[in-house]
Amino acid sequence: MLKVFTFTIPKGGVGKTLLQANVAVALANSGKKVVIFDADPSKAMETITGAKTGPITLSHVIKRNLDANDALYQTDIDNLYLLPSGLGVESYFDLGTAKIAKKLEELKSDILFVDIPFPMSESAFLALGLSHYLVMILSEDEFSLCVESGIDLARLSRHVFDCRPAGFVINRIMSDKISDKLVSLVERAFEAPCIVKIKEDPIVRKSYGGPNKKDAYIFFKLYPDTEFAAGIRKLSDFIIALPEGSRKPLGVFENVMKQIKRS
Amino acid sequence: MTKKKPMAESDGRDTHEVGIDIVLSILGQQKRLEILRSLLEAEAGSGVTSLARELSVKAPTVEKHLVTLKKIGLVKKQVTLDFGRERWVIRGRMRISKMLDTIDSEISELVAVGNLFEEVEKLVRRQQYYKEHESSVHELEQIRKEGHRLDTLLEQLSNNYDKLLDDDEKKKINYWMSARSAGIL
Repeated sequence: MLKVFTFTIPKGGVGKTLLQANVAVALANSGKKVVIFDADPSKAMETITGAKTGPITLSHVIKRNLDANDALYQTDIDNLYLLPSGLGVESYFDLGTAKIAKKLEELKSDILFVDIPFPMSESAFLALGLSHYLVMILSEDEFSLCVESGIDLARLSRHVFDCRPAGFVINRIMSDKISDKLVSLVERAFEAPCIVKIKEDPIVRKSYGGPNKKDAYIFFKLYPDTEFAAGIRKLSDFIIALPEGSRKPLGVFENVMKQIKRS
Repeated sequence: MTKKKPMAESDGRDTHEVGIDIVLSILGQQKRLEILRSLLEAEAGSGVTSLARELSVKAPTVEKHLVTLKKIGLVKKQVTLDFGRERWVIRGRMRISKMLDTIDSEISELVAVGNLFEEVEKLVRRQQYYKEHESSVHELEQIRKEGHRLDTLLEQLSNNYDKLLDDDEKKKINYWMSARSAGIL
């Protein structure tokens, strides 16, 4: 049975795509079939994972009633696949979240990540509606803003989209300002645990590939013995240990459409 | 043939049912609240002239307000036995007193808490900005002052208005207080 995740926070530059890509590799290495549903038009995920995508996207799959696996593309990593969304806001109205959710089930994957762009937008509502679990990514830079956004996001996720805030990652830590006391306070505020704290590493950032993303790569694969890789393994173990998600009630998908229309 | 409904007996008011939007818009004028407060104190009611003198408003204006208040059943006009003079009295002393108390304490308090929270958010944003940017000596003094104000408001919200805050607001206040103590805000 499928577990669907989205890594997000309404703030850019926290490293959610990098973390998601690296943890997806760690999970794929452990033998799980992992799919990244790429709803980010920047296509960063495609470059980082080395997926060679073709013309068929999830949008085509739904519109032409194809098999969802027709839009699945192998990455450089065994067991790791990319599913380009090809969806714009207008498509959400045409297709409906319930249909998208049904198609995703055809993939028969163990774990699915929904990668969405910053900021909170229509695609974020879609992601939360489709996901069983939310993992919030915070960074030391503008930490307070991350926490405030996280409080609002956790409430929205839990109560509107039936998506459980599973925990949070504090990424790109540069000092010792984020004390254990502060972390436990954030845990209480989010009603979710801190899964791992990851120190800032400029080399990890470089693996994002810069503006053209030409030189992007999976850091975890090349440097498995680093502190960053250890953090990724911790995150991967946490994800594996979570119970499988169940099918969401139709009301959740209606909520997604309602929120999209309002936005 | 349809039978005609018997007319309801008039109680002297212009309308029986008034929407809350109309009530709020009528009560949204400071002078009308002052008139009600003054009439509450005047056990035997007040004439237009004395109300006008007390509130430093022209008599026709006071009369206009009284007529408006009468429309929503808060005051009534009485003709006195002494030379047939007109006096305005409150309709239902206990009710009006309770209503004014609610406006003064509860509604004002609810609005004040919202304003306090908004000010806190602004100060938090500014403190966050200061943390991320270099500041001049003059700015440092400003940061210190605003930080002090922020701490005071956070204490005030947390100690006095806990029951009027949403869970998410409480969480944010707790976080901000701890972040201030930890020096990251």
